[in-house]
Amino acid sequence: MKDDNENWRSRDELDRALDAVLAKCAAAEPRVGLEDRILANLRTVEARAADRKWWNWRMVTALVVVLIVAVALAWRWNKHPPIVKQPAVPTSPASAEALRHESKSGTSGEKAMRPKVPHAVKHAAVAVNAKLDVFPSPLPLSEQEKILAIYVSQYPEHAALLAEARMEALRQQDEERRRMMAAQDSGQ
Amino acid sequence: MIEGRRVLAGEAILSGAAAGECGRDQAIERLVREHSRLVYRIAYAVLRQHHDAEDAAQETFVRVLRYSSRLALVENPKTWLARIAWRVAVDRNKRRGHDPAIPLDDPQKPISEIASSGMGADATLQRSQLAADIEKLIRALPQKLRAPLVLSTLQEMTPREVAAALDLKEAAVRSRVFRARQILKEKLLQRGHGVTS
Repeated sequence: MKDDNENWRSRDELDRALDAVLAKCAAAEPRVGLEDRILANLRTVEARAADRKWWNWRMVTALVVVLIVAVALAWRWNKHPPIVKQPAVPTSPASAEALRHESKSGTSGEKAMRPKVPHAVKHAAVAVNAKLDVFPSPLPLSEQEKILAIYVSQYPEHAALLAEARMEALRQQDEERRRMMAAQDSGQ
Repeated sequence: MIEGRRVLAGEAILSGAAAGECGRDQAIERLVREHSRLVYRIAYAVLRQHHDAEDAAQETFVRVLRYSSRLALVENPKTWLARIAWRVAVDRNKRRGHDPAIPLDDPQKPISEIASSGMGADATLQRSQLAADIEKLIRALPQKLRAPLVLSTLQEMTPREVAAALDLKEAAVRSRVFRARQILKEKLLQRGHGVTS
């Protein structure tokens, strides 16, 4: 009986001690101005979030502008292909002949000087070559060419005969050269 | 009756949240003004460190701000806040990874108590030892018993609010508090407290 009483008494005391400790925990007081600190922190967090949102919008806007500009440029590029400057054929037949001859026997130096043209553009240039009458502007005839032009206009038959004779001579020279080359090949 | 009035007051706070940004800000400010102390105490009950409890209180309201778009849907802001505060504090406690040192209120306190109270030095030391043991034992309790015990000691929380905050039934809260106290008393008796006094 006495033991039971003591047990209950000690349990009551433990209850009281337990309540005291729990009450102490429950009655913890924050430092003065907790609400103000929390509100200040919330304002900072909100301002930072708004700032981040603003920056995101700016980034998105900048990206959209860049995209629009890129698309517009690409569209314009496709619509108007670049204009290629073509060498023009001189209007007079003599200078045209001279130019054709020059283009056949073009030196490596000239090749090096020629600007590189994109592959697609080369085809376009070939197609346009037929009407070479724009650039370069025809050079004035030399003295000899002027004399030749006068002679051809005055004596066209003579000029034709001379031209044929000259062509014949050139053909013969050519054949002779070929024969010699063949003989050299067979000798080896 | 009082509780019902409180819930109505809470509803009045949060009904303002639906009225645009300004209303939302005012609602949050009122929540802070009315419940920051409760949030702090809940955090302190778990963390037992004043600066940690304050950080947890800050984090709780930052979460409230994050979910402010759903503020108008909250039925009882007090229990809602208590639940968030409890989770934040428990998360922080887990993140901390170790039990904090038991804070000594004041190293000079036992001496001043001996001087002021009629108790002897032995009794005072025994009492402080008992308090320290109780704190340790509370922390050693399983989470499902510790949460109702700690929350139910807060004056601001009724058993019904504790139950709502922990997603439990009121009867479950009462029985868990009872079981927790029983366990604590058994452990204290095993350690020799209460028998000699």
